[in-house]
Amino acid sequence: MLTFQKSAKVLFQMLFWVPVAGFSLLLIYNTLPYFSFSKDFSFIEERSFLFKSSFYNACFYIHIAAGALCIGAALIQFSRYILKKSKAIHRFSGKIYVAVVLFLGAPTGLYMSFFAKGSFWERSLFMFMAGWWFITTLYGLTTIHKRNVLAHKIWMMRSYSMAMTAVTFRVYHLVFYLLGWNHLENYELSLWISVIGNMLFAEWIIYRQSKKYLKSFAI
Amino acid sequence: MKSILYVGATLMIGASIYGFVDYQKTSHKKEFSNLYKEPATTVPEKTVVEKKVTVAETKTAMVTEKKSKKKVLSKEESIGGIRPIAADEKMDVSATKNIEKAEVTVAPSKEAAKVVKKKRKLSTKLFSRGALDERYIKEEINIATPVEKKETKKTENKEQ
Repeated sequence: MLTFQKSAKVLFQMLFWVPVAGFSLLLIYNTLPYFSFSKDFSFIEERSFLFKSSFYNACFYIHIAAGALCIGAALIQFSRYILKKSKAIHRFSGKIYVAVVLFLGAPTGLYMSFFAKGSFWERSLFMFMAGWWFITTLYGLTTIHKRNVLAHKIWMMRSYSMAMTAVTFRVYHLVFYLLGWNHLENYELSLWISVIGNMLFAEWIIYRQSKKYLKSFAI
Repeated sequence: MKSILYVGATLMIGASIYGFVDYQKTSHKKEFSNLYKEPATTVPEKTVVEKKVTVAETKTAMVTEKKSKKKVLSKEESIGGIRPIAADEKMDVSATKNIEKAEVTVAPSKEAAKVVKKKRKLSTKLFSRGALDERYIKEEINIATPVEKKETKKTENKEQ
């Protein structure tokens, strides 16, 4: 019975992590061509007016580099195997993640959110994302400095859920596109679902794990 | 630790202030307000051009057909090559009909042969925040010819 439960758990973990890793790597792979600094991308063509500004240009390239770096770094952060084998790897990639989010990803994202696609509410959502990403990562850092591992785990899960909105947005965007949705509606809905969905999913995992933690105190 | 917080917080505050100021500057521009507007698809109106066709009267020459004269052949000339059949050679009508099935292949016409199957092949480049560009979607058109129909046609062979 125990072995069945264990194998089911491993299967569910695989079902979660294989697509997450696959889509994350695909996002990184798709980011690389942007560093040819060509303007022949639909994202840039659509915002050609904004890309005339050198500051916006710089923010964009810093933001996508930061996004690719922190998504790549975060992939190994949740591995128990790596954490057991070598804490140094976890610490090193964690430092990269935190530095990239706090100094590059979140500030550039916040600046770009003022010019984001969509209505006032979508822009506000982007601002919230940047702010929440910054706060959760900062809390993750402060808690581990206080050696509060549990709180560190929780805050880092929240931070990672914000980072992963880039991935989940693209998945929803593509699915709704295949369903024949209008582009702007598709964009807005994918954005809301990815942000709220990821936040709820992270809270659900935290709740599930905290239940186990609380059970450990039971006599 | 505190220095990280201060630097990060300064960057965030700076980004929000600069972003807001920059937004105020650019939001008045017409180019910015039209930035994300999707181009409206316009259907070209059909224009009906009336053409008056003037038909010029032309005198057509009356052509009278010349009736070819029929040559009346004599009886001997017309059935000269036919000789009467002998009693043995006569066909037996009362004999049973033997029906054989023979396969006849009917080749379909070119229009009917083309079964167009469109298959969407999505590029990995579609996994992007930008507008999903049609250039990243390949439409493979498979023209499959249907299996030739085999019709059976009854041919009658009369046993002699």
